[in-house]
Amino acid sequence: MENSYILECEGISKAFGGTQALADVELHIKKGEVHALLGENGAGKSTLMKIIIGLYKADQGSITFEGKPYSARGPADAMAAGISMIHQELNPEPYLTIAESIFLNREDVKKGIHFLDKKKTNERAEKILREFDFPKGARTMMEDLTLAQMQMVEIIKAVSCDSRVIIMDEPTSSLDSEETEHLFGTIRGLKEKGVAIIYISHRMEEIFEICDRVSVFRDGRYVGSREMEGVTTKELISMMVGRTVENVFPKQECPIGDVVFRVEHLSGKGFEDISFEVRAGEILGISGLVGSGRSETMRAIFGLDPLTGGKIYLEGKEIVIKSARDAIAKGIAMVNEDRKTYGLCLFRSLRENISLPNLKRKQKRFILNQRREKEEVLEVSKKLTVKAAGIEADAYSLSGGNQQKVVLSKWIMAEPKVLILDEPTRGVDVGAKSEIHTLMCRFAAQGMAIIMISSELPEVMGMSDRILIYHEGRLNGEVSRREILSGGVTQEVILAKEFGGK
Amino acid sequence: MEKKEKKILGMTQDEFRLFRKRYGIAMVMVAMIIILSIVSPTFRTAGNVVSIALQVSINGILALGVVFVITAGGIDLSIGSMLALTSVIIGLVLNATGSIPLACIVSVAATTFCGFVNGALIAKFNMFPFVVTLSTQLVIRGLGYVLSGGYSMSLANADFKMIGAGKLAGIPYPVFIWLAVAVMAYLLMHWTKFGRYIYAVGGNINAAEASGVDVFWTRTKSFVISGFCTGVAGIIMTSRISAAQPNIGVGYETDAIAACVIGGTSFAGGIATIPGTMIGIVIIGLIYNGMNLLGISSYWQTITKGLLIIGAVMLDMFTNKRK
Amino acid sequence: MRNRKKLTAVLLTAMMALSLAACGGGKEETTAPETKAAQESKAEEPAQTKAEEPAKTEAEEPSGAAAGGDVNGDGKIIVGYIAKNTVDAFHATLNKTAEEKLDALVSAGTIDEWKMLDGQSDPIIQCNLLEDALNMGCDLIVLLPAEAAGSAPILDRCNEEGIPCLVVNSMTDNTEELATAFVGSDDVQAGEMMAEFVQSAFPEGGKYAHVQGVIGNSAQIQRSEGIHNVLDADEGWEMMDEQSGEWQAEKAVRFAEDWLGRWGDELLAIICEDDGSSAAVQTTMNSKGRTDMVCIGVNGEAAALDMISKGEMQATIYQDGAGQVGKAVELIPDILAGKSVEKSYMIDFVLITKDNVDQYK
Repeated sequence: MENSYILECEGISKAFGGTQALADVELHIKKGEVHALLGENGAGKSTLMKIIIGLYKADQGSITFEGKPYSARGPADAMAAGISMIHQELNPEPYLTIAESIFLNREDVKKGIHFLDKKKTNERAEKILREFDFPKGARTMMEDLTLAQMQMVEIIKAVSCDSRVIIMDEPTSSLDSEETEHLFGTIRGLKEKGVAIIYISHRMEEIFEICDRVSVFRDGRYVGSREMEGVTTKELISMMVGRTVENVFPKQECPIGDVVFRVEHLSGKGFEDISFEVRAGEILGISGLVGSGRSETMRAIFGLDPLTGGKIYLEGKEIVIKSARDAIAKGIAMVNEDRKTYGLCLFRSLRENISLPNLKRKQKRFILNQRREKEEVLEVSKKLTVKAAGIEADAYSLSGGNQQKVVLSKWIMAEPKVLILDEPTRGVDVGAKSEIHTLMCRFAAQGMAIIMISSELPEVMGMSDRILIYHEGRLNGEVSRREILSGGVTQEVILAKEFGGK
Repeated sequence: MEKKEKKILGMTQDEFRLFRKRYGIAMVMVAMIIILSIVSPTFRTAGNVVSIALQVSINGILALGVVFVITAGGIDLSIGSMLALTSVIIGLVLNATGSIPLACIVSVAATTFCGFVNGALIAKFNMFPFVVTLSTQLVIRGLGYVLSGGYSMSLANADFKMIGAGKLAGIPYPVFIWLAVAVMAYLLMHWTKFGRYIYAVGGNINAAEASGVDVFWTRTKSFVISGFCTGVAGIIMTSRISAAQPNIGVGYETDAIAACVIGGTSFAGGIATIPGTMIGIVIIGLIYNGMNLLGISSYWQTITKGLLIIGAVMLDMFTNKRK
Repeated sequence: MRNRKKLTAVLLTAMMALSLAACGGGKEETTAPETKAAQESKAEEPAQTKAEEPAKTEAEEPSGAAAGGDVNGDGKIIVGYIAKNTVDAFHATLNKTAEEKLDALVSAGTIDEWKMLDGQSDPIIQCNLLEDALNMGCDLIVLLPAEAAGSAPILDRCNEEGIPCLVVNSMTDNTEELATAFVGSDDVQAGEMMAEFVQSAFPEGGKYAHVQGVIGNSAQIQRSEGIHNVLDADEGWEMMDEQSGEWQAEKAVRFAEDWLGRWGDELLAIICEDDGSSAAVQTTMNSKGRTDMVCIGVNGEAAALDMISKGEMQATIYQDGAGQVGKAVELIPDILAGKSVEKSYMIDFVLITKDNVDQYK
């Protein structure tokens, strides 16, 4: 029995700063099996995979590969040892040929002089491509391939390196059903050759179709493994949830007014046919897996990405938003999930960051009223309890929580009618988190309509008056606070909807 | 040394860091002035101070323009060619009409338009500023040759000559023009919405866009300002040599950019001050003037300038903790 | 803490750069201060006599002459030498001669000091350097103009300050009115000499092409004029093309290759306006088997002379830069003494062929 395991991880722990990403996790992979990894966002699946291919170093624990202790210094090292990973976001060199891609860093060189022997490399590549019935020749440029074909080249590359374990992260996320079937064919072929596949996916039906066993993770912990035969979706979902609600959410009930903001049949890249409305004083929670289209929808509403269809109404009137500037002018503000890229100018002061969207009101005949600016910034930063050396301190000198409060401050100063918050408490410590929640309630009480995206189910459930659930770019259900409070809707129910259930 | 200073000035570590960030390069300037005053008696004379101001006025105006471009995350290599274009246009207009205001307006309008083209190409199509201005530099230089037929024109107009040679209270007009441009640049950069947008676009273009900043116009305007300032500098330059020449101004972008960098402007964008830039301008003037007074060969001036730029960039990196 | 160390390091580097530069310059200076000290006692006393009365100080002893030229009355006679540049070969040799001759004037006591100022081929820099020279108390300026028009204001300023100005090598537009004297060569002559050599090499005439210098430069204008004077009048010769190589050899070669491609063996001569270009063009032509072609230029740079003595090139026109600046420095004592000098001194160009090349190498 022992010998049938090709890869064994024992007692792996990993912390990033104060956050425990993995705690005493185990994973056992058998030779020639397709093994699914399942868990919510942030359950620790990716972290564990990155440890296996050597991108991170585990704080504790041991990995055994083919009976010998194993540790990789990086993906190349892992590949040499026999473990490869096919990433979700493929990142090929577009101007290499297929042959050059496959044999990158393993090129044939002519004897004596160290020139490349392109002919030999191409011949070797052609041979492998034929084995996989690949439709293109070895001299084809990577940029001329479809996504599915690029992925196949990656898999071929892994096989050509004699990989005995191949990790596939959401391999079907950008494939159509035919391509998916082809991929499954390839996976079955690899299985027969004794290659073990670690298969990460959120698509239950695929897991049931292709996988032999499944391991479930939750909150950086290992929950358990099951044989796919005999297990039910319901059982798996209940294994995934159960995140403990550590803090009580400071949700205050406040009167909910008229509809402020409404969208109808919005479509764009990554989402389709989205309709919802938000009322004054309401916090609308949005739940869904990463990549399910929730952030994409909000970015498009805020004008950062284009919309391909649908209508937006603000206070009953249809509005057109072409850029963030339009959105802000109409009274819509958005706190982006990536605060370093979209939220702050890290090397400018707090004062400048906070007043950036609000300068119009402080300008008199071209000249800024800097005294008034200082007063207002001081006031808002005090109100939002920003802790900093002063309003002249550079943004990068602040902690994550305080940076987030600075981003909130700048939008609060803009006095928006609709406030969109994408992961407002990501990377924020517990104390600041609770403060941000309190602030959200206060804004709602002032009559703002708030839309909050969060990957943390307890947060969404604790803070929202209503929750929309996304699944693969579409809305897949809506639950109300009443249903949650009455216990009719549990984390399991929401998670099941996120995974496409009814 | 540093520790003592800290105690004397009674500053906390953070305050000291801020002090050093703000005044580090000013201290270098003061040190240079002190050293030069000691080693060269000529340096201290009022006449020499006026000369330095006159000598740096052209580069000063160029640097005050290009600092907006660099702060907004760009670079303008076409300055030198725009100087030549200004010169040629002044020559043509002045010789044809004899009107000084018309010559000045047309030439500045031309460089401002060049700046607009630079900026619009860069901001609209998201092209690299380096590449765009590298090519417009060639186009503009060529335009100058075409307009002038390759020949330089002597400008006999005595009034026009006064722009560069005239004095008020012993101080040459170009110095006043430079200082006036500096005041305008200061107000624009530090006291207007536009200045903030420049910082934001240079500091983090995505955040600026997501904060409602009109990124296209902010970037474009930064090049327009550079073009305008270059036109003004070109008028002074043409007046000082009282000739319209299509081949002048080669390499002038280097000193203008150097002044910005020495004055604490970060090449990554988003960090710069007008006072700092002024200090950078003066420091470059001091290098030239001081070394000429000391009889040091111009080869060493070049080397010193180069080392100072590297020093200034390192200073910027350490004080701003950039990697 | 670490940052502070780094800052100190940076400051030290900057300081080092400065002090290093100071050392580099120091070498050149060492000769001057010593002689200066020796001279100071001599010069100080008569320094009070102003320049307005030059007749008084016609005495032959150098200290007397020095006093007479002290325009600004600071007790020292200082000559400011504003070079065109210090990098191209022609000006480098010219500057070297100036250095020797001016040093000789210092040791003879005629002048107290002289300052070398590098114009870097830029008229604005030259204008700025003049201000520096005035501040340093220069009483006489030797100017090698960077541009005919652009460097003209320097003479205006000298005139304003009452400081004599010697213009060397090429003229500014106002040289005739304002310069104390001009020492140079008649570039029209050089152009004519080149043209005549081409005529003598191919008496039947034929096709030629012309690489100009930087357009607008007085040497360019006059050399072109000389070439046209002779060859336009000769019906046997036809000019195929005329382009500016801007004194740059690689540009000249590019044009020459294009021309050879277009007209082939019909092209008999390429006339350049500097022999850096003509040497490069000749080398290219030789490598293409056209050793018969005459490529000729002006200046007498080492590379060209070397080719002539090896028989790889037929001729060049030697511009006696050293002779020009030498003559200019010779005039300094007379000017300082208030003697009148002629407005213009022309140093002849010399045709250099294999026969006389050894004298000029």
